[in-house]
Amino acid sequence: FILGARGMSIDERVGEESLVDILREFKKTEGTSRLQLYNNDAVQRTIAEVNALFESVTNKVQNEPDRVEDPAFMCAVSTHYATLIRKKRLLLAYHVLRMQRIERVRWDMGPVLPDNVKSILSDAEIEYFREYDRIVSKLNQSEGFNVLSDLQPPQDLYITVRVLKDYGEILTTTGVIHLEKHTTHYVKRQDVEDLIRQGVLEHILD
Amino acid sequence: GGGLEDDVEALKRAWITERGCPELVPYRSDLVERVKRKLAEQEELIEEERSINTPEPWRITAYEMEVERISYVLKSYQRCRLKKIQRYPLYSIKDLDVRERLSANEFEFAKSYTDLFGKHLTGTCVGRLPEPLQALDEQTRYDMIAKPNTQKHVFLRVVESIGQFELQAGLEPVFLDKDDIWVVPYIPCIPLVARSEVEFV
Repeated sequence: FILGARGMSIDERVGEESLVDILREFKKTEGTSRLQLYNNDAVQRTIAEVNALFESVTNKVQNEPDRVEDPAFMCAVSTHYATLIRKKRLLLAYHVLRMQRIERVRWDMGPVLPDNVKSILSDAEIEYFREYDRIVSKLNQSEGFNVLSDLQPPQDLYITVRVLKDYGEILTTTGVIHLEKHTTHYVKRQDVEDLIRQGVLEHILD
Repeated sequence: GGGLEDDVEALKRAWITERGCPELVPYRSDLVERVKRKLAEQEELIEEERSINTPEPWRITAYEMEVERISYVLKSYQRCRLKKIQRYPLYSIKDLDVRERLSANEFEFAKSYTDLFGKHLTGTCVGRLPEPLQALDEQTRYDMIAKPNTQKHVFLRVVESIGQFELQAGLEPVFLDKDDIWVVPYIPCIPLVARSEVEFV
């Protein structure tokens, strides 16, 4: 006990080690919205570690109340407490970093969660995306416009796009157009911004 | 028209300020309302021109481009503020000074966002920890509430000559002359920014 965190067996530290590795990965892909599959294993193991360590420390302190006068004992308690806080921080950092990237997906891709992203998220995170979209939509409604559109400074008013997937008819400022795969159209950029982001259309630069 | 141009310039300034400043700048609600109204008027104008089959179709394009430019600046301004709210959610609603800088809509968003944030973290991890470790807003033993880094350096242009100015106690004061551009820590310059004696670039 006096040895503090170092007294823990290798097995007990596995959950924490995994989270640290995962967080390093995040550092490498900083600024992007890249995500790996939610690592439920590492999360659950770390939570279990925290609960186990907390219980062991509290029991020790309760069973030996006279030892609070002993500086070595209290030093060990402090060290264990610091370990608990560190693991809590790791858990929080992991989840918050993912939340930030999920928000980024909403900004970049629009209100529809792409399937390839959905398959990487936990159920709770899919719910997070939906709720986040809901509060963003509420804000857009109160503002009277879509705050998360026009993400790039305007360049060309009209652009040429190629249709990558059949999408049917859409109504634009210049009338109805049929989005058939492989056709190209000259349209107002604002009308099709969303579809470009979703991968239905491709902006052709000349 | 003339009024719109002044407002657009003011909007651009507000946008640059918001982007340069590490913390939230007070919301320019009157300015934003005026710009939104003018944008709506422009859209109506565009519709009129379109329906009368004007002999000068280039006008429509000119109006449309202006609307797009102004929309972009307006939205970018809002987005910049949203990002700050999302980075420092608890701070944005708990600190009374900061809270006042939010628009009513932004405050609603900030509240909902903070709730969502807390709910998600509690549900996925923190709620399953021992009770004394479940706080998300602990400030006694350590500070969990994220705040903007007001010590970071910012780019400022001197609007009116100020002369000598002490950036930091113990260091030589600097001379702030009109149109100088300085890269300085934000905190000591807060009063200058507040009095519009300097502006962000």
